Amino acid sequence: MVSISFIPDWFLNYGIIFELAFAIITLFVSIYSFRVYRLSGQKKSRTFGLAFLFISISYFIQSFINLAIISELNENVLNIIEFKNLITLDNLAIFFHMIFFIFGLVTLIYMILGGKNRFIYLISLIISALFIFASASNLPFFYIFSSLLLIFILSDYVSNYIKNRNGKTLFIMIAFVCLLLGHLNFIFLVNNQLVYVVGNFLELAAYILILINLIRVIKK
Amino acid sequence: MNKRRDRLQVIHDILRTIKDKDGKIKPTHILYKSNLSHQMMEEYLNELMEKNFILEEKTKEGKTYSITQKGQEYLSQYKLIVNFVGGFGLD
Repeated sequence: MVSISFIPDWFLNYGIIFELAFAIITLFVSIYSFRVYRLSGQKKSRTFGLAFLFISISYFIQSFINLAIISELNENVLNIIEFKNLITLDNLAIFFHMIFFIFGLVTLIYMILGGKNRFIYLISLIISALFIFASASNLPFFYIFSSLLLIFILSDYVSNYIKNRNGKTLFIMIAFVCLLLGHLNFIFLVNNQLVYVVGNFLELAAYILILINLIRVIKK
Repeated sequence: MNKRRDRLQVIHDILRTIKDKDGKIKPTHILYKSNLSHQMMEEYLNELMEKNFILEEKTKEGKTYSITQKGQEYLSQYKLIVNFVGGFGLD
């Protein structure tokens, strides 16, 4: 989720595996959500599916580009031009990850607010994209922004849990707590590679909880 | 959550009532079985027609409703729908 220069060497490959796992889990949630929409016509399911599709795309882009960069680094001794190209590629991966991840969170908020106005939704997406663009892919800025959005989303899941105390609502609430903690943690990433690993494990915990929730939903 | 679950449940009950009547049913029977006000039932029936869950047929004796393939799918996947909607806080 960050520039590979922030990732400890020993964690490079694990990082990509984590990103792929996040991408696949969120893709499954998206697929089931669209399926529920197709079956029931419930619009919230469609918006939820779209949100998770954005999040999934953000991780797929990040993992594939990081994979390409690491393969290149492993195979060749790079000259300065090739090295600069890799840095550009790395920056692109970060930029697109940020954009799609924020799109996912904005879509979730649109759903929570019971959004029916597509124009407002579109404007929200454009403004978020401009925010990311204007910040020049500044990592702390991105994580502060995503944490604020996650706090809003989490507040909805907390209130949902208070209203309906059961295992499923608890799981999804804790998942978003882990995701929020992971993103808060990433704010302090600069000059501390360990923070990246801790943040990744928090995200892993979040997505595993979401996966368990999905499996429980399907199996019942 | 309960409100949405109730909504999903009402849709289920209407579709089940139609299905149990071997396909075609009059609105009065749906009204009786679904325990809704006349206005609410009309709203649900309109929604179900919009979603292609049921078909309306006008005859000399009045309107009748029949369940579509999509409506059948809703019934068979009802548990998945309710669990997913409840499990991910989509109600």
